[in-house]
Amino acid sequence: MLKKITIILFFSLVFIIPLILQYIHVGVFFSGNEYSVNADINNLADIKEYFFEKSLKNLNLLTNPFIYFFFAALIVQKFCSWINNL
Amino acid sequence: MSNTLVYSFLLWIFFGFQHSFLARPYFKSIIEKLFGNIFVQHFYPIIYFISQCIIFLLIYDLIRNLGPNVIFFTIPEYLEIFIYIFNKIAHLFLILTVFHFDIGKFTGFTQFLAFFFKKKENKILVETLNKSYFYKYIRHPMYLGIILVYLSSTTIYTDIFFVNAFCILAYIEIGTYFEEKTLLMRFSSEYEQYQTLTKKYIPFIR
Repeated sequence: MLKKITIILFFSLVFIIPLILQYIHVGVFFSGNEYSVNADINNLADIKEYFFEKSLKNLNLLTNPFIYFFFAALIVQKFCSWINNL
Repeated sequence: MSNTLVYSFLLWIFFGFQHSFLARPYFKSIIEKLFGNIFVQHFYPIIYFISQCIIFLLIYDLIRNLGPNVIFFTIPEYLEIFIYIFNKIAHLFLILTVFHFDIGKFTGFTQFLAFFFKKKENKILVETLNKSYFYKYIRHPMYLGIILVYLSSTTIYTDIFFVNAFCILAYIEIGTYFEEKTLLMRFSSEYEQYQTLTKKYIPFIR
């Protein structure tokens, strides 16, 4: 029982509490709405301009949200299996 | 059809094609011929994972900045909180589906480390069919999570939103076709039986 509680608490700390904190700080916010209103690529020239001026920053691994997510998930999963095996 | 819709469509096709092609056994066999079996086993999975994280961000960042032409409808402000809660639940559902996998293997990290710590090599080659928790009821819970997160990510429904939704659904459908084909080859009758007992995306709906 104690193991399960620890696992749930750790999972919540990493994945649920940030969602609650985001709600407290920003309120009801939809990332999709931002782009529906502010999206400014309308032709091929805009795509090229956006790609060379802004997109290249996405090559940085240290700011890649997917890498962060999977790295955090990997740590949580390893921690949970370690707790389970105690 | 407006230009931005065509660009969105083409960007999704590019992403889908390279994502599937680089994961196909055919492409892996080419890599194996070029760099050897050890490279394919220990280094290719992590290179594939990192490259896909970068390529998806590059492509999706372009797609979400494509200007819409028409706003079809907007959800009234008083209903936004329900969509918001649904979106957060969908996020959690998606995260939980990731935990069904061995994330180390999924990202290629385990295979990469196994190169340096050879003792674990035999352990990583053993593959089992995942039939636990969500997978007991549906065969592709992660894809269902992606669809739900996308559908609830906005309250302003534009033409670009629907083109993206169509492309995501089409890609998932094509992706699952090839994925299931590979799983059938790998697990044969066990997967065939699993297919007959479970639904594809939504419990009770085939």
